Amino acid sequence: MKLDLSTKNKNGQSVCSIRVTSENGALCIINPLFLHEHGDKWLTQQSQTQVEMKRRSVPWSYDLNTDISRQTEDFVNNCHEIIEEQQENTGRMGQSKESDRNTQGPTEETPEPNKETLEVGSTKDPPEEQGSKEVPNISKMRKQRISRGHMRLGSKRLQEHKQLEEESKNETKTLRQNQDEKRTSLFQHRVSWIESVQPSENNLEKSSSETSLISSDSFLLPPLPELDSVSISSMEEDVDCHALNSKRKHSHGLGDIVRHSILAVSTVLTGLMSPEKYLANRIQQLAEDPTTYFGSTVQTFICNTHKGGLHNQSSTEMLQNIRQLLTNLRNHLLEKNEIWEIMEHQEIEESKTASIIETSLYKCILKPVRNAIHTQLLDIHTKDGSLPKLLMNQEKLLTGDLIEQKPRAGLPGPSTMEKIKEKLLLMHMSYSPKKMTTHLLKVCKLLYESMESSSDKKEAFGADDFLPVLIHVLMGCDLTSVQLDVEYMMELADPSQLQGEGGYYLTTMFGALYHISSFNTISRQLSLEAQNSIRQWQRRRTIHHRHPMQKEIQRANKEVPETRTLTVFRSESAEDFSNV
Amino acid sequence: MASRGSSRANGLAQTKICQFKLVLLGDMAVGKSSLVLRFVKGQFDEYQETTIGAAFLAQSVCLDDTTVKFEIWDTAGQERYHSLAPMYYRGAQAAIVVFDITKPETFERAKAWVKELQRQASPNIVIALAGNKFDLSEKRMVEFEEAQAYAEDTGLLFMETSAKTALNVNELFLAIAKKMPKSDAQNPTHAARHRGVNVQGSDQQPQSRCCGN
Repeated sequence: MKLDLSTKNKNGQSVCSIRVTSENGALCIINPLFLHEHGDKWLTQQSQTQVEMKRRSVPWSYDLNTDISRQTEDFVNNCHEIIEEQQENTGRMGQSKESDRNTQGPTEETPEPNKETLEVGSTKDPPEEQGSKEVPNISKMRKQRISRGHMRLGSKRLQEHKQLEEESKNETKTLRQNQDEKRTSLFQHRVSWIESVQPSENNLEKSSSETSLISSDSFLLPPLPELDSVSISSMEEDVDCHALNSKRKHSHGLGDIVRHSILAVSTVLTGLMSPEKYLANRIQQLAEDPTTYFGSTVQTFICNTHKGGLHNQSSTEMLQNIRQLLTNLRNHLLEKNEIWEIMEHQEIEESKTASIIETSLYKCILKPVRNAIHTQLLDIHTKDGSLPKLLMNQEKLLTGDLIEQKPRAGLPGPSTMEKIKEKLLLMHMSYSPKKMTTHLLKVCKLLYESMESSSDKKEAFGADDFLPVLIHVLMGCDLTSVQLDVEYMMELADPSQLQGEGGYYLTTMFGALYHISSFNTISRQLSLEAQNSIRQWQRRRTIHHRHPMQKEIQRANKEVPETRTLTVFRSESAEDFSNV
Repeated sequence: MASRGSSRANGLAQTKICQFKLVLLGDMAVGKSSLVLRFVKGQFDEYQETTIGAAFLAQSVCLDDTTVKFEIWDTAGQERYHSLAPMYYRGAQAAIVVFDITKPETFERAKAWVKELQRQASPNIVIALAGNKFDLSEKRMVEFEEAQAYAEDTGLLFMETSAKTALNVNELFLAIAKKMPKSDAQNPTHAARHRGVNVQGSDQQPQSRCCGN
């Protein structure tokens, strides 16, 4: 779709041209003087290329997800350059503001016509309105955006680009002065934002020396780096710790004033973003800032984990330590003034905050170490014999050596089984215990559906029917990953998530696995040790002491008499379990 | 947790919300889930939380100035899963032990459950004994007096119920709700979060309807 609107004044002169293109979703109001000077041929040309550019220009994620490894390197270099340049600009901001305004505008020479369009727009937004503090930040943000374009340019291209810009400035200076007055009346109509994407001659590019167009383009902006969940922060996750740290120094090296100003501006710009997402992104940012307690704790943990910091711990100990870290950091963030300020600004419900923080923490902490945890769990449970035993029983049950009573409710057919396996795989691939629980619930829902469809029973199915079906279905699945995932969820989910439906079905899943793994060939009953171990499950998962001291156990014994069995059986069951 | 919001929105201005975990125990096919489904279906939808299946249900009831939300955990009654039960009743504040009045062995099994709960579950757990299938009372094998005497001796709530005719179903749950501790200390999270707004002028109706009978 293309919409061109031209407004003409009484002299028949074009005053304003509005152009909407569906290709990039941008609304562009072009200075008639520019059209007067250069015609609109370039616009037509540009729109032809836009079909190809479409995917690149709209979602940032497209750019960022392709060739990430190559781009990341370029990006780091460019960022470095741009920020240095930015710092210089900040120093001589006072003068450059003035001169920029005077030197930008329509030019006679159009080496990069689209770039010029942007400059035209920018000159019409008086930077004074933004306050002097915001100018460097805005230009910094713009530069960060521009840097994406520059990623493909390389430094040589960057130099050429600057040179051209200087030339055009000088040449347009005179013309600009003559037409200044006329232009002033059009200030409020100008919105100029066309995404810079391609390094080709015909494409738009923003000049890195422009001062500001923030007030006019703020509503059409693509997400700023700090607002964009699929941006630098996501890219950085794949980079090793060193690269992370060096980059972060650049992006946060501008001092508090700049950072706070960025925050202030970003707050203004979040009209299009949900408050929850904003808070989540802010936490993500903090996690990447090694100068804060939060950021350094997160980074240290991730680095240590990748260096093998999870070794030499029992599975429960390892997972509970991580859970403890999550809890501590959540409490730390909840006490942080900045979070409260964001909440007040964004009108986030108090009750939601903890949950948003929890989810963000999963992303900051669990996402990078998910695989390491999994490997470690696999190692631990292979060595202690629990996994081989589970798999052995699975095989026996499948081949009919052990006969588990067939459930009275219908079992799912092959297509449902496929769906169930798919969901279990999704569960296995997730890092967030919350999301994993959602997948788990979907599996259970599929089971209910197949039970209902294969039965005439009018009443809904209760646990009498559900558990046997679940056990049967699990026997046809990859029990190794299910077992590890269940443990992961049980230990790492926020205890409050373990209430309710998620908690119920997680318990049931755990019970089903335990039933399979502890199925005693001879007596066809759960062994005494297994029974006691299950009894202690809830207690065990809520223990957050790193090393439960004998004292604490004794104290617990006084409070609740039956826990005396805990101390005895915990050690026994672990031994017995590994011996079988 | 959709209904937590909705019950708050439709609830009474001054009510507290208390949430309790209730576990269902009893032999297979005594009507555990039927009993709960009958209870849940007899309530207002707005107090009901949609769940994926009947093994876990959530239902709120109004009681004077308190909204009591039950999270109902069903257990598989088969003997071979007996050893998994502790996972379910751990942390439960209430339990309904169900037996079938036409099958004496289910009453014996119920007694065993009660014993186990009193020994292993939370010390303050509220236990109710339900003699289900009252609609089949002509085939009765467990006398009312016998069960009641047992319940009195062991300090249980006792009612004969029928999931089929809905006899005593609401009464049973309300009796449990009344016995639950309502102090804020028991339920710090839920009681504290109640905002006390959005009265919607419906104070009387839901209260009398859902707490009636």
